[in-house]
Amino acid sequence: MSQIILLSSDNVELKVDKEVAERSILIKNMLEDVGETPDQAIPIPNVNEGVLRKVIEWCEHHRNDPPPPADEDSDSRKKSTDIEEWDQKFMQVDQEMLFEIILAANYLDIKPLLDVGCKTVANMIKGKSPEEIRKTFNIQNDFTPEEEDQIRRENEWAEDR
Amino acid sequence: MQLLHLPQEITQHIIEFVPDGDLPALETVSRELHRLTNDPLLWRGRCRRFKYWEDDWHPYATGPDGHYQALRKWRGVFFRRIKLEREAQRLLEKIVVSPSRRIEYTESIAAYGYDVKDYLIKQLETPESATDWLARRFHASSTLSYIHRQRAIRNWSTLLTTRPISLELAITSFDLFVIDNFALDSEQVQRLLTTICDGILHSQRDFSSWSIQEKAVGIVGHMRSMGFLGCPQERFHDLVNCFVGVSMRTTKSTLPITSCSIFCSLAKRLGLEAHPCAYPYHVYALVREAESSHFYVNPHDGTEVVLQPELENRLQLIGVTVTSETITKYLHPAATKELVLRNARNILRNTPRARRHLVDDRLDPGINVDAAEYAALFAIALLSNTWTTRILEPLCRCLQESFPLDVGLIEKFIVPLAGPGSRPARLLQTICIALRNEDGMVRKPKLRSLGENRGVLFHIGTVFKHRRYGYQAVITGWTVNMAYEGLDIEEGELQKGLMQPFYRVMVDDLSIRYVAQENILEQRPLSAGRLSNILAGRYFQRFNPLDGRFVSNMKEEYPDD
Repeated sequence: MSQIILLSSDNVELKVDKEVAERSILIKNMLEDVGETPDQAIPIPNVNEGVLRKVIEWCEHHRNDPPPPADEDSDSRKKSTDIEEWDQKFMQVDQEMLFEIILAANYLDIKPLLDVGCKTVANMIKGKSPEEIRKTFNIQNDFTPEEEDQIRRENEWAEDR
Repeated sequence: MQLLHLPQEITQHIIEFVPDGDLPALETVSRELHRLTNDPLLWRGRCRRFKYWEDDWHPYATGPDGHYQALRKWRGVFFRRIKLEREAQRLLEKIVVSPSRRIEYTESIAAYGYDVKDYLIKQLETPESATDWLARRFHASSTLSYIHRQRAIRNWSTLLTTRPISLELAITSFDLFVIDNFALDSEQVQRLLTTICDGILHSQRDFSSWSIQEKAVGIVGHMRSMGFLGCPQERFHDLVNCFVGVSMRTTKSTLPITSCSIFCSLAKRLGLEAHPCAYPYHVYALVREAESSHFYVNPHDGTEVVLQPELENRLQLIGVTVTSETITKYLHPAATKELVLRNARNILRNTPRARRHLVDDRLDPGINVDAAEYAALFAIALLSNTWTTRILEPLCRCLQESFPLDVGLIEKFIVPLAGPGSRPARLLQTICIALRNEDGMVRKPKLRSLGENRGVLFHIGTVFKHRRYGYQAVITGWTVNMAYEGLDIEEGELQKGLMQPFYRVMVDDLSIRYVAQENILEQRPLSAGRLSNILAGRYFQRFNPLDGRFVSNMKEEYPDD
C-alpha cells in the first residue's frame, strides 16, 4: 500500500495511506496531475496538525465508503439531518474544532465530511429559541424591538404546528 | 472561530440542513442570520423538494416580472405550500377518523389540487407501525384519485371552450382515472415523449436536414424500434390500448388512435405539423408538407407513407362515397374532442370483455375496469351532450356504487350541461342530493345490547373461513334483518334461512359479499395475508397480529365491535 506525506500548516508531517488521502478530491486531483506517488510532503497550508489529524481519522474510517451519489440527488441529501453513530461521536468536539473541521473539509473538498459537519451545526440549531441560538453560538442580538416584532409577525405560519 | 465567521457559502450550506420549522427562530437571531436565512436560492431549494404543483404555482413557471421579483417570491411560495399541506393534513385527519362529511372534506382537500399531491403521496407510504396505517393509506389514496379525476375532467372541459389544449394532454387524461403505481401521469408522459424525441435526435444526427417525409417516416421507425408496434387483431379489445400512459410504461401496445396520438405528439415536438384523422375504423396521421400538400402515415401498422388519392380509393372500397363532405370528415384533421370521444367509445366497447377476465393475465397491467368505464362515461357525457340511457344509467351506477365522492364533479361539470330542469339533470341531482345527505348524516349506532342484535356472534374485523366455499374473508358489517337490506341471498342453501344474522365481508380476492352466520368459521391468523390490502383501510385501522383480527375504523356505526 503506497503512502504519502501531508504537511500541516504548522509544519508537522503526517504519513497516510494514499487511498485514505484520496477521500479529499483536492489531494486526489493533485496526485493525478503529478502522475506518480511523490516522495516529498504535500503542503496543506490552511489546516493545522490537530485538525488534519481529525480529518485523517475520519477518512480512515470512511476509506471504503461508496462514492457519494451524483449531484442530481443533492436535494434528497439535504433533506435529512440524520448522522450515523460513528460520525456523531466523531463530531463531539468543541465548537472551535467543529468549525475548523468544516473549513478543512471545504478546503480539501471532502463533501461527505462537510455535510456531516454542517448537519451537526444544523442539529445544534434545531428546536431552539432565538435566545438559545444566540447563547449557543455567542451571537449578539442587533435588531431593534420593532424589527423583531415585524419578523415575528411574518412568521406566524410556523406557530400553529 | 465563530459561526458567523465562516464563509457565507458554508453558513448557507448549514442553513440548508435546518428543518423548516426552525427557520423562523434562526432568522430572528440577528441581522446577519436574517439576511442569510432569506437568501432566495435557499427558498428555491426548499421549493424544489416538492415535485407536483398546480400550474399557477409552479415555481418554474416564468412570470412577466423581473428577475429579482421572481426570486423574492420563493419564500412566499414555500410558506403557502407548507400552509396548504397543514390544512390537508387537518382535513385528512377528519376523514380518517369519522365517516361523516367525507365528501365535503375530500372536496376541500381536492381544491388544493396538485399543491397537496406530494403530501398525499407521502401518506400512501404511512409505515405499518402507525396504529391506523391501513385507513390512512386508503383515504389518502382515494383523495388522490379524486384529485386526478378532477384534473382529467378539467382538461376535457377545456375542449368545450376556445382555450387550446394539447392532444396528448386530452388523451392522457384517461390515464388519470386509472392512475396507479404503474401508470404514468400526464407530466410523466410529457417527459417521456421529450426523452423519446431526444433519442431520435441523438441516433439521427442529421435529422434536421431531412425532408418532412423522411422525418415522419423516421419518427414512426423509431417508435417501432422502441416497441410501439400497435397491437395484433386479437388484442384489439385489451383495455390497456386505450390508456397511453399505462401502455407506454407497460405493454407499449396501442390502437391506431393511440399510436397516432403518440406520433403526432412526437412530430409536433420535432417541428412537424401532424394531426390524427378520424378515418373509419382506423386513424391515420396527416402530416403537412406545405400550405396545400400533405401525406398520411399509419404508425400503427408500419412506416408506409400514403397519399390522399390512395385513401380516397380505400374509402370507396369500404363503401363510403367520396365527397367534399366525407373528405373533410375522414381525411382532414379531426378535432381533439372527437378523438377523445372516439377513445372513450373504444373503452366502453372493451370493458365488458375486461370484466369477464378475457384478457391474458400476463399482458394485462391490471387496469381497474370500473374506473376505466367511469372515465369513458364521464368523457362522453361531458363532450357529446347526448343523454341516452346507455350513458346516463351506467354513469349513475358508477357514481352511486364506486365513486360517491365525485358528487361535486357531477354537479359542477355534468348537471349544467344536461340543462336545468331536464330529466337527466333532475335524475343526477336527486342522486347527488341523496349522497350528500348520507354523507352529512351521523351514522346510527348498531348496539349489541339491543334485542335481536344479541344473536350476532362475530365482530367487525374477524377473519374467517367460509364453511361451504373455503375462502378467507374479513367481516366488515352485520345485520339481523337481511330482508330489509334488500339483498339477493340464495335462501334454499341455508339451514337456518334468513332468520339469522348476516355479515357483509371482504373476501381475499377483494370482492364484497354477504355471508350467513352459520357459514362462518372464525380464524385467528398471525398474518392477514392478501386481506391486508389498502382496500381494507375503508373499514379498518390496521391488522392486529396479537389477536388475529383487524381493528375496526367504524366505531360510529358499530360502537360495541
